[in-house]
Amino acid sequence: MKKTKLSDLKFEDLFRREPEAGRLFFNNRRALIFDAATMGVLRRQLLSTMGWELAMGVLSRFGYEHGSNDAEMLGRKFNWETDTDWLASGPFLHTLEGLVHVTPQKIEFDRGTGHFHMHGIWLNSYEAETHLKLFGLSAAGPVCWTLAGYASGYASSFFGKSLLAIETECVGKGDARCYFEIRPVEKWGPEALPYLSALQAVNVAERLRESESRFYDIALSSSDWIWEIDADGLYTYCSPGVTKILGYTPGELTGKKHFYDFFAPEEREQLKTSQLEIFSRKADFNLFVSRNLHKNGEMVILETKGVPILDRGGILLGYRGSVTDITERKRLEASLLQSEKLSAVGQLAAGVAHEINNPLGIILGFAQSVVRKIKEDDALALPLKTIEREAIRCKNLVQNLLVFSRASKSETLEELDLNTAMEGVLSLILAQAKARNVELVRELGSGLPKVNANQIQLQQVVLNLAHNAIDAMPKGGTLTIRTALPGRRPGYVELRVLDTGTGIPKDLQKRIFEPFFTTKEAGKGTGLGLSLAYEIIHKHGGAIELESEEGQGTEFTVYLPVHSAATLLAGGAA
Amino acid sequence: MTGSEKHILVVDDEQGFHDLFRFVLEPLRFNVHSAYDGVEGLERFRERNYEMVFLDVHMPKMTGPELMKLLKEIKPLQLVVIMSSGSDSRQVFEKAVKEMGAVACMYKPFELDQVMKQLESIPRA
Repeated sequence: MKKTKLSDLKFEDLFRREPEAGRLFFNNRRALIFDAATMGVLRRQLLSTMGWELAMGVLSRFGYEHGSNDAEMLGRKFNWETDTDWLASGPFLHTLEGLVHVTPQKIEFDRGTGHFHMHGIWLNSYEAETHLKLFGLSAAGPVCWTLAGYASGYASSFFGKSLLAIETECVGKGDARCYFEIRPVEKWGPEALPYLSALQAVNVAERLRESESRFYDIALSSSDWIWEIDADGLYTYCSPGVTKILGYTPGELTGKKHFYDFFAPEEREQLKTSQLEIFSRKADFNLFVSRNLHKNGEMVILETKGVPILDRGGILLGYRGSVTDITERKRLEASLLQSEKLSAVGQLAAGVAHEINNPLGIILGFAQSVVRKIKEDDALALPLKTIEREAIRCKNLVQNLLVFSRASKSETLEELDLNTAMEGVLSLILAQAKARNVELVRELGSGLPKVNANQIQLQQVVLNLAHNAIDAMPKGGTLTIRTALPGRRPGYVELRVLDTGTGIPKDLQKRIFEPFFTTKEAGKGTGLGLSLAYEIIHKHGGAIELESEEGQGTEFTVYLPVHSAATLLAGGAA
Repeated sequence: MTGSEKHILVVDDEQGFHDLFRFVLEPLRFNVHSAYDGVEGLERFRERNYEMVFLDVHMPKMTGPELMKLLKEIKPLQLVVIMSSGSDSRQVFEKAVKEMGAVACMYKPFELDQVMKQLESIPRA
């Protein structure tokens, strides 16, 4: 068989037409004629759907197969005069196929030692031209991926070992020419890694699947809610954690709701504006705290972290991050702060009570003794009775203050039937309610377990709550006092005081248990009633909660631990 | 009440309470004696008989309950009323002083009726 030299290789000899059969052949394989722009469509699709790394992988792999097939066919079809002719035939074929014009600069190889080194200039790369036309100059590196893949595939197939072509200069990234260098894989440094992982495109996909499955494992098992939104703020992913946090399934949010849809209505615009401001800076955010409406209507406090998702050009595609429910934590913090405030008031009260009680006792004593000595129609009767009445008011104020200081000391709790304790105060409340045109409704649940409580203090709590409720209904209304086993808190008995009064504005609700906070006009209230109630209930190991709607009324719920639970708790803490 | 005068001892470091007791009780034919601390109270107590003794709790030199203990040693059946102005836990304090022999514990600022109620408990001579 005649030996072939590189110079013998002619396009016409390699090219064969079967027009009647609709087939073309090149180098003995069926060939297709595409225009470069059609390859560009493929490139654009790959880049836009899979991103840079995966697109590079697919196209490099495609070039690699093409190159190694060419090397095999050229080796099988021709009897080469020298290995150098055979080796050079690859770049030459590439040139004949119209993909690029290759000019090898240097070819060194030794099949015995495995030494291989080749570099050269690739001109008129179809790929660099197409990329430039579609995307402009590449900022992220060379773009002749099919050509590099071809060179790697061809050389590897020819040599029977792994060789890697790297494009060191590229017209697509603004260089005057494309320049390639081919070496055995092990002769390259770290710069080879992206090319190697591109050629192992299948493995990249595998790694992606692993990483995705890792992500889903975390997202599925986390009690946090992991989310992703697009640039418009529309949810594009929600982990199942959202169901526990907001009550909705991921499907109810993804593609349907925006990140701001669950913000508390009264804060929505402000929170949305501040989030959008962060988005406009493409900034990370951490510890973004917002009040959100749960599906069941309750308000939950959420802490959100997020990072922007940017494309290679720095365009914001969206955000992703996670949400933690901090409602309970915030409640505890608030309650701790409240306890500290109350205890400070208590200490202050204990300190001054002694100093106030002496002069107050003298004033009250003289006032009362003089009132008894003068006649009803005496001109001084009114002023003296006023002094007496106001002194008694001061006395009550000081006594209320002292409850704080005593709250920290132990006061005996006893096993108590909540309903029986209520009977004692209901008559007092009824008298007051009647006088103010308020209907008193009693709904005392039957068969309630006993609670661990101090009867007098408990009665004081109910009196305070009822007194406030009646004050909140200046035009009359309905006051309901209800005892029951709560559905939500096992181990507790609940006591509710509901009114149909004016309600408490949202911004005041969090301050209402503060000592000396009052909405009543000066002289009408001491601002201690509710903070006392708070202090007493907390000392009982219970909780007091408030729900109020302006114009609709207010509902206070007191939770008291049942006797056995309190004993268990005490035992457990010891 | 009988025509004979009754003697009351008030031990308190506040002048105002002495004035008050005098103002209220002298027209009712009580003879009000004053002492301003525990030591002086003990001296006054040794001088004569009193139908009732009112003791403030917080005083210089000796507290009311301490003085009560000494008085009771001298005269175990002496009627003593403790007057507290403090913030001590009422249940505990009251229980303690009553066990020590006080007939009552009044908390300042007390009302006149409470004083009168105690005086009514004095047995008629």
